[in-house]
Amino acid sequence: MILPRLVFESLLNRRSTIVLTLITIAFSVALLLGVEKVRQDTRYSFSNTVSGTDLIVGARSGNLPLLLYSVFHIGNASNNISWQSYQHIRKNKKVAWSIPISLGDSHRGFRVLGTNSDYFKFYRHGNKQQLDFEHGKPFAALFDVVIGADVAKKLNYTLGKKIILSHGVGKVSFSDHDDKPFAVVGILKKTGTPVDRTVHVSLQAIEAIHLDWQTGYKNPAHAVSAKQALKLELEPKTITAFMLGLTSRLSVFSLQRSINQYSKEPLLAVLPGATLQELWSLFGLAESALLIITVFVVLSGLLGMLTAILASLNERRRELAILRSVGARPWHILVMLCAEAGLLTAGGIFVGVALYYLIIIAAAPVVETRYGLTLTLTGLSINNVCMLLITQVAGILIGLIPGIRAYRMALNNGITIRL
Amino acid sequence: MSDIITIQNLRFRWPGNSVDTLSIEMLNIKAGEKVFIRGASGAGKTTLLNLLSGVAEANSGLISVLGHEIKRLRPAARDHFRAQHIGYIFQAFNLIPYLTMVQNVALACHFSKERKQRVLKRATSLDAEIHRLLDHLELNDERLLHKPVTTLSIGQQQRVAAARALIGQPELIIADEPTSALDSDRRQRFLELLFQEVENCGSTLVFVSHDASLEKLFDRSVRLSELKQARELQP
Repeated sequence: MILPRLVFESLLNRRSTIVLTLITIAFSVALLLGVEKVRQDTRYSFSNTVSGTDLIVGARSGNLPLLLYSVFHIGNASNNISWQSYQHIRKNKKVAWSIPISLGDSHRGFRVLGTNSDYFKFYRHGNKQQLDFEHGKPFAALFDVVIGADVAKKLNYTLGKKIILSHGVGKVSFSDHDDKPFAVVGILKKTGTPVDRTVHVSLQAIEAIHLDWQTGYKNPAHAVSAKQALKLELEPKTITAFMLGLTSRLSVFSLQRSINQYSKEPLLAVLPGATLQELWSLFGLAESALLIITVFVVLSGLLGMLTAILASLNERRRELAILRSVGARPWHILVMLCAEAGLLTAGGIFVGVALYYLIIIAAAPVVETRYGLTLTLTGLSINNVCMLLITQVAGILIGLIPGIRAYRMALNNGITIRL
Repeated sequence: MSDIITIQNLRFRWPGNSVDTLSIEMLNIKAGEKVFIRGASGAGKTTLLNLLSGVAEANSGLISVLGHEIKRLRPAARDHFRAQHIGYIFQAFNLIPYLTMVQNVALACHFSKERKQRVLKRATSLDAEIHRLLDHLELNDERLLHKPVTTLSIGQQQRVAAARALIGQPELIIADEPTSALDSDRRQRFLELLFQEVENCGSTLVFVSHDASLEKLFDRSVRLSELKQARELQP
């Protein structure tokens, strides 16, 4: 069959325009895949900010606020919960482990999280990954502090650095806990979660720095020095929230119900996964807007191809008339032009996919360190393949437009050429 | 010799026009003839060629080529018929720019099995026949063969076009002012070569032009304007 060769040679003959068209399509395809990738990975990394935790419990407010302040450290708790309630629930047979969380202080804009050593044992993020130490170890002494990767990087902290915590969560604080300096004993590895921006201390430390604080202000009359504090038996009276891991996931709902109906204190237990999804759906609009824009970019790439092919038709009237004179049927001409569009689209998709992988490979380290987003190098998903197939079909369909025009030209002009 | 083309009471009018673009009472062309059809621009030369090749359809009347009434053939059959039995030479720019000289000549054989088979009956291969034809048309220069066809001179291009029309010995060669872009010396030489090959193949040549100076070289000459009157032209 001569047609494939004609299509191929004809394309080759117009290579400068064709290459530009191909690049346009390739870029739009790479963009489509890239946006989809970032969308997927952002979503994945977001919904895995906390994983392996079955319930998050805090003072009764709403699902989203509880998740926001306990996991993302955004906003503040409306109320604390009592240590007794925590102890009570923790001792429930269904509970495998628990992580208490106490928030409210900060260090140079980074939130301070009071917890215990279970945090380093049981906290999971991403694909059930544990927190790893870049340097150092969990806190042991009262005035030890473990900082997240971003904190270390931004503030240029290394192990042994003495730091002062501030009361409240503002960027600039006017009341420092300057009488009780802390020492950095551990720096966590980058996780891509809010943990990176958190300063971790023990619950006892939170108590210690607030010993001389009463109802929100520093009372010099009750000043307790750091040395004195070390000798005290410090037990927290309240915490902000706690995370629970259960022995069996099956008991999640029954435990959730019993916590929500806890009579001694108004508590709220939420399923982190479901609530993260709920939160993500808020971004859904921006997410689909991004995708729609990309779809239009692809469409404009294909329209560019349409323009290029249509523009070429006029110069190719003679070519088509010659083909007609040697016996080419009008549908041959139609097929030739559709094949041309199809080939261009296929080439664009191929180069686009290659470009996409090149960009991922090149950009992954930068994105990882800058934004904490891990761009995983994976094969094309079924979703991607569907998108590419749709693009391919759209390309061929768009080829029908010049195809039908050339078909009509072939029918009407016949073998004579109108100049 | 039998008639290769028979036209009777032919009328063709573009939709919306009040006069016929072409009207032919009677025209018979015998096999092996070299006929010059003369007509000023607008006399319907192009229309006649489109009708003969089955690309356009007459409003009334009969056109029969090689014993086939064109009107009775379905469009697909007409395309096939054209590929098999008719070779074309246009005014200028006859060649597909992105194909080589040899590929251009071979084109007709790719759209018609019959023409390819006829080539293979006479020659050992399609390539051999193409080279023979090009050689006859004084084109078988190694340097020319590998040049892009767009760099050939007009005269050379027209000879390649002639080779494409002649390959596989179609019964009918239709030439639409193929010499109008050539100067008079080359015109003469081109026609000589063309006649030689047409005779070689035993084809019939229908040559359409407005240039009366070529008239005398042909077996007979027909004026389109005179065909309107009822009269049969004898060779």
